[in-house]
Amino acid sequence: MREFPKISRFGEQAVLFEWNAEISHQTHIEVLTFQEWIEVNFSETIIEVVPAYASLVIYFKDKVDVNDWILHFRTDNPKKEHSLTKSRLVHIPVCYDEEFGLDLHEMSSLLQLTPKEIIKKHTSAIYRVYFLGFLPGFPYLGGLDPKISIKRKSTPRSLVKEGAIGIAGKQTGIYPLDSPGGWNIIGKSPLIFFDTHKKKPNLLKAGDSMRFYSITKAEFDAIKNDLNKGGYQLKTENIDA
Amino acid sequence: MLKVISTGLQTTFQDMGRYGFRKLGVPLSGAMDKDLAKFANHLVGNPEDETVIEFTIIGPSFEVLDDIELAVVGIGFSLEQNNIPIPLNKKHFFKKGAILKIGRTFQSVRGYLAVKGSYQAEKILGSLSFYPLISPQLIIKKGSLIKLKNIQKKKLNPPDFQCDFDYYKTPEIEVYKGPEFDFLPNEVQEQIFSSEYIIESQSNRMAIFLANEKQFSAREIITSPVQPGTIQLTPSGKMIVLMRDAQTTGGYARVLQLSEKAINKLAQKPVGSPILFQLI
Repeated sequence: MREFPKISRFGEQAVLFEWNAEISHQTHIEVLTFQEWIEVNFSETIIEVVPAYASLVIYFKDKVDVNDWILHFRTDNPKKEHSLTKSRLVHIPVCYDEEFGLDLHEMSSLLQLTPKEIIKKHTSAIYRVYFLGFLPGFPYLGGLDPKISIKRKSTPRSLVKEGAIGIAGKQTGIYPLDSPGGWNIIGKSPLIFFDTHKKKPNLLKAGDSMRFYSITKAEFDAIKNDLNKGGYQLKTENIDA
Repeated sequence: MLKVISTGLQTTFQDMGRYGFRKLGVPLSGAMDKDLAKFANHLVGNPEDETVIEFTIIGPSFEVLDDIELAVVGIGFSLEQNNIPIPLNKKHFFKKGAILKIGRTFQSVRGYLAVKGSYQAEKILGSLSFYPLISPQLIIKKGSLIKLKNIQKKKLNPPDFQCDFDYYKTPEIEVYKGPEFDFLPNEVQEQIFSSEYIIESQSNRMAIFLANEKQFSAREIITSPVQPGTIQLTPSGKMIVLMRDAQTTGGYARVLQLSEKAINKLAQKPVGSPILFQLI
């Protein structure tokens, strides 16, 4: 493990840990390894830990004196031998039919690629879930093929439906809830990515790996049907982190 | 029960926030002015973190369908019981059939209604705070009935709870340096503290936008955690104060961080109010 991250107080009841400000696999594994260590060892004093690409913030309970905590932490600098080694690879079904791929045609002419080629590139990559933010359950995904990177739409839609798959800049993403949005929409997944009635409302979590696969409208309907009956099994496997 | 006669503006259920789900991208939410929300609960003898009804500039009106005790807390709101003016920031008894009418304020923004007991509604991720994307049902609608229940567990309140209403009158907002402050050029650091700001009209529960007299800006950062009270400085030179419904991460430079008390104070500054930042 590299040098320890920079520690600073962030307002009244929070402490920020910062690594090199870069989007990199290695830095991100350090962030998540550290998050896990904090959650296990300080469960009594913290409210929650929020990770991002190259930093995380710890929110403390009111009873904690944050300056004291930092002082203790610095003198008692922990040695961490382990590192996350495994990642859960989640397979996400997407229907790229015209009905859902609202911007595929426009993208096709802008990128000089057929819709088929765009879909092939989108389903070939293994993406990394860096963290959830922007909307409840929204995954910040790394790993988009630069050939299908495209700037966000000049006029955002007032409503993008839950499950929509989009591309904006160097990122692809999934809308977990109905919301306004400016991403180019290329398809829709029948899965539910954020369900407030579940104890664990999120389908994806930071550190997951993810791959899209193309399905027909009939398969889309069949999965929806299975989900409604509670009989859908998410396709996952373990891979190296 | 309470029957909603009129809703007022942005009238919602709020508690102290939806903790424990920020790493999933769920905003904290909760009362914009937590001190006044706590004071409302204190007046009726509730635990101070009990759910309250928050209203904005114009208050709601209700027909009271049971005998209840209630308190309306705020600055400058008019208040009537059966068309007779009654004082804010005090506990009142309402008989079955009485009408509670909360008017408008020109001196502040948000007020709170606490009833003795608690509001009966389904918690979403452990909280009764309204947030449009995950708990849209926790907004107050005209004609609806609000059910009440007795509180089971008793929590003890600090006996000497006082509310310092004078604190709200001054323009100073207390801040800590934010994570990116030290990376700003010296002249920008100085301008941030010497500039006077005005609250802009598009401000809401997510963010308060500030107009500033001086021109300075900051580069974007790699997307990083933010919290209520974080002040972002954009590349186009906008100062944005994130409030209770803010996203959990953001890509603008985090130049300052408000104290908890200062978030409450800022939440009460009407559009057009001047403010100044004061380093803690």
